[in-house]
Amino acid sequence: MEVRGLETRFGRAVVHRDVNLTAYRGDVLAIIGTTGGGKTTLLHEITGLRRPSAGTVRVLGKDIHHLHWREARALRKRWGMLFQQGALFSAFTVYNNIAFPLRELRTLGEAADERLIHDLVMLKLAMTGMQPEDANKRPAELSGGMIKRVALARALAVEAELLFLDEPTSGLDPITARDLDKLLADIHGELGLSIVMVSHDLESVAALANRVAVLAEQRIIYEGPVEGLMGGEAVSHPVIKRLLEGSRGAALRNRYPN
Amino acid sequence: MKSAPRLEISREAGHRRIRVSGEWVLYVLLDPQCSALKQLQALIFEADDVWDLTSVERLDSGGALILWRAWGGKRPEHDEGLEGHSSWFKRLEAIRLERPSPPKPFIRPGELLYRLGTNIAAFGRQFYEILLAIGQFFVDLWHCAENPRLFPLREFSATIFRAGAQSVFLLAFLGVITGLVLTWEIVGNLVQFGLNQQVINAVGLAFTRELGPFIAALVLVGRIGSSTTAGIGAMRITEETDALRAFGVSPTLRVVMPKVLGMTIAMPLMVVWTDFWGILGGVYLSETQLGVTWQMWLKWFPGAVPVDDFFIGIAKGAIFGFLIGISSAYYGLTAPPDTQGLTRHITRSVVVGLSLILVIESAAGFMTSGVAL
Repeated sequence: MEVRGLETRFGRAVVHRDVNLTAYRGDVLAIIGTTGGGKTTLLHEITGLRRPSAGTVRVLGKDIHHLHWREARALRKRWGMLFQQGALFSAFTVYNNIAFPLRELRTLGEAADERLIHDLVMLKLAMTGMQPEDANKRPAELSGGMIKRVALARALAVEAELLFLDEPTSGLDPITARDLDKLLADIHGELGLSIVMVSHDLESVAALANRVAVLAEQRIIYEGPVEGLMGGEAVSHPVIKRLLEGSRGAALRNRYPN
Repeated sequence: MKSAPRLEISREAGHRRIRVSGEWVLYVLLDPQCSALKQLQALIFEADDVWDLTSVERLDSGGALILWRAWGGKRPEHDEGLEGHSSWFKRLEAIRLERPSPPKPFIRPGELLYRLGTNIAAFGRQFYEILLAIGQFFVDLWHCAENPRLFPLREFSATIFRAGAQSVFLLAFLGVITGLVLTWEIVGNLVQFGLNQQVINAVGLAFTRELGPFIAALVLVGRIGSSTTAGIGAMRITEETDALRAFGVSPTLRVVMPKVLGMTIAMPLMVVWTDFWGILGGVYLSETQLGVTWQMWLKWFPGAVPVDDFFIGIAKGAIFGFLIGISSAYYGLTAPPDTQGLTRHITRSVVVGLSLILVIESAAGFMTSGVAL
């Protein structure tokens, strides 16, 4: 994934100015930064949900803002996305939410019978720590943490090469959050898929990411390996200093003590 | 370079060796060009088969699931290289893939009666709660009369602006169209009996007593009633009504009362406006088709349409405004905080609003049949 010269403006307000970002195959890139800094907006622009004011975004080798809709649809089959609030379809049961991308994108072709879809859905449900009984529930019957897990199961349903996660652990208790980190690490290890995540949770970043980008002052002030954040020039930047100080940065400091 | 999934079968030392190689990922396996899946499905298993997974380059959960299904939902007796991909198979071993059957919509004998009963009870409860909401409105109004500082003036004036000022073009358009159509329909009969000037009575009375309030109420239900339910329902989803309660502010006082009062006050104005444009449509057509000029209208209108009729229309408008306001706010406040529930409540709000208009129109017709005319 490659972002070059990206600019975002809401009227006169400038959110991003000359943002450059790269994630390589197999990377777990965490985009961190202060609240209101435009992290989610950037993720929406990377995934083509929002068009930036200027600049280019290439995902899996394609400029996603200049694609024919058929190409864009084909490209979207190759990634999954977890939204901050889950964004489950309230009219569907949990089962049908997870089966939705499998059926709707017709990614599986004719060979995929309903039995295979059923088994895939139940597998993803189990992978995200849900019970088989939850399959018949509706989103309104789920807690915030369960919504997140079902949303992750739906994002994983398409066997994506690339996973976009918008605040994956927000709203989860610390135990569930760490379980989710472990699950994501397992999936990443097993499949070698790439993950681009936006997060406030530095513990999650420490557990998952190998590269980090810090978005502040409308631009990327640091991009590189996570350990690079803990030393060198980067650490002297006041925003990074503030991010890492105290209990917030403890997980990162513990993981990279030197 | 990606390599296609393959299945190679060989015989060695009296048993069969099945070598699984390449990328066993779901979308490659299910591609019509890929033969590995068909080969796997056609395979007749033998107990001493050796499954060799040492050459599998990549295995996703879908690929693991396809192998697992082929093995009959358990690990094969003899395998090589399975440990390298054990995490998927361990998961598959540990989980139950069966989805519990969803409850069937089976109706037992007697259940239909039970459902009918619960629906009637629910309707009764809604009616009771709407009565409570009316009571709450007057309590809130009294509270504001005692503490004028609490009156939510901005919300009140915004409702009047949205309901009234923003509806003027639509109301004028609907009024003129209805006036033209109504006059057109009665022109033939009046000419036949030589009662041309009776057009003033017919159009004047129809608009001031019935059509003016009716058209304005339809617009109010469609434009403001539904958006009130949606707005208050969305506040439930985003927990804004809970936030108001948490700060000790009554949502009915802060949100419901100004909207209901605004609609009650805006509606009579909307009725007068609709009456004016409707009658203007009638004036135009009667002048061109019947020769009844606008000067004749000005001269005979006050005698043909008593002022009581005019006030009946205005009173009806205020009642419509009040009841549409109460019902739309009630359905917003009681909407479940999810999109499905909110959609259901918006529909209910519009249906109840339209039903109220018709019921009140009919009731008012009977009750005021001896008044004026």
